[in-house]
Amino acid sequence: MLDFLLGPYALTLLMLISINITLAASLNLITGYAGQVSIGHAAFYAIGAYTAAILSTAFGWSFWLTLPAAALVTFASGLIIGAPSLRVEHDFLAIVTLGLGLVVQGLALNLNITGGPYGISGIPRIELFGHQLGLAGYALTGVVLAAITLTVVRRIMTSRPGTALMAVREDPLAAEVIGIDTARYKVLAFAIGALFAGAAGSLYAHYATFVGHDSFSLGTSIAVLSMVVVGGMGTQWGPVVGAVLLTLIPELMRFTAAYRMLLYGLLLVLMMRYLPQGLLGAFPARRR
Amino acid sequence: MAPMLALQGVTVQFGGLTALSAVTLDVPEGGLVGLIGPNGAGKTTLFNTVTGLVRPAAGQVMFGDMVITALRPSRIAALGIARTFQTPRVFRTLTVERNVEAGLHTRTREGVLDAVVGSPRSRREHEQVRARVNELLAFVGLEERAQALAGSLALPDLRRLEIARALAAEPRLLLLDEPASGMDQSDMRAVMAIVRKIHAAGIALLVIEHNMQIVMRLAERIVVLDLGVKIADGTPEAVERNASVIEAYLGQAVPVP
Repeated sequence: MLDFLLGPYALTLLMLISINITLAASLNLITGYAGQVSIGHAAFYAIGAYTAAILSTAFGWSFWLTLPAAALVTFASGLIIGAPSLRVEHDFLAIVTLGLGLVVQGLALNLNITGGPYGISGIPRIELFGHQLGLAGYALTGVVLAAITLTVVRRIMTSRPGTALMAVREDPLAAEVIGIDTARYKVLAFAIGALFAGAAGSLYAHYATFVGHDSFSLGTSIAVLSMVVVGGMGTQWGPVVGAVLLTLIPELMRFTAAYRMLLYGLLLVLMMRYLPQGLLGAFPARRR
Repeated sequence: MAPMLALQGVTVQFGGLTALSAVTLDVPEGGLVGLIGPNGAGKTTLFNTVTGLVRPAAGQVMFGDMVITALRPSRIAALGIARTFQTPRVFRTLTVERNVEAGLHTRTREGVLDAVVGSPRSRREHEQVRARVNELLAFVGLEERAQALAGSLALPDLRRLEIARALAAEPRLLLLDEPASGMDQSDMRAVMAIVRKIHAAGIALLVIEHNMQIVMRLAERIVVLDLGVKIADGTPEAVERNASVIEAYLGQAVPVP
């Protein structure tokens, strides 16, 4: 049905926007709500995509199996990659996560299991009831994934664990003193955020049918962080606004493709100077 | 009967500086003990040691029959010790309501999975939390400000909020760090009324206070620290007459020629 309304180009965009919403909403949990700055979110996206690529090409798993598997693997890697947040804070954590992102990319480039510089190709497309999914199917799957991510984040943030996460962001010492195990909640934020980035990675792998190390660069991490910052850190709809804008603007201005990073950088600087709360930051969401 | 809180020979050092020197102190169940001393006496360091923010170099802290010296602050809080800070440390971008909710953390169990699937526990606790938050805000007189951002409150209200958040954990012992400092007479009286209500509810209190008048009227017993050493421990009357206390506060008497 979606095919009639939207052309292939629009459907592709819709799917890419959905993936970016999923990435931005999951990073928003880590950075916006829990206050743990991460410039390495693409690492989880990569781990999810490679997990799906390996399981589907080497073991013949379908998307419906690689998706939960990728989510599980990235959840576990989030527990590990989140561990430095227990030792360092703020700008130092930013540098550490940046480093971890580069490490994961470096591993993808150098390991045999990830296909080294050749990446992994021939990843099967998504099948449902024996039919290969068309573009509309991918777009719909993306929208559902983004909706689930947003719902889960919203439900967490309107409950006890969400209160704990924001307390950790606001004043870790005070949070600890009122009985919140700050270490546990920091790592939990990383793990849950990672889980959804991994799921997005799986969808991407089965869409592109190819994964290579350069799909998950520092540039990807910075783009996702920009979406969160532009939309509004720690807001419910900020990641959506940010992901839509920062996916569409570069598309609509394709002639500036070479300057995409320049544009992101400039946008970040301007946002930090004039609208540090993000576009939606001026209207704190009401809850319950 | 064994005291509820007991410090036994607690020594705390920061580099070469001895902030607390073999301090022994106890707070009885339901007691109201005042902790006074000149600036730099080690009062806040003592609070930090009890709540697990500072590790003593020697000695131990007992809560009931448990040694809590090496525990993480969040564990100590869960056992039933709450505190406030000299400069209130509220969660500034969260509402007043949600600050108190954070204080209920150790009294609720809702986990991430409960929240995501909306489990019966989740629904039950959300209701209990709402009722309890209203109760606590009413107790400290902040119900009107429930929806305000904590960062927008003035000092007296920040103090009230911090007390409500601390009480949310249903502590058996509450440590108050200068609850009346920087306030005018009427706000001071209001906070002291809250302190008395807490005492009447059977919660033990250890209160740092600079204002001698206040602490003399309030506390059942007063402990005096000076330069990390306990120099007096007794009823307000006894402490007031204690020569070394007078000396610590006013300096040595100089014979008039």
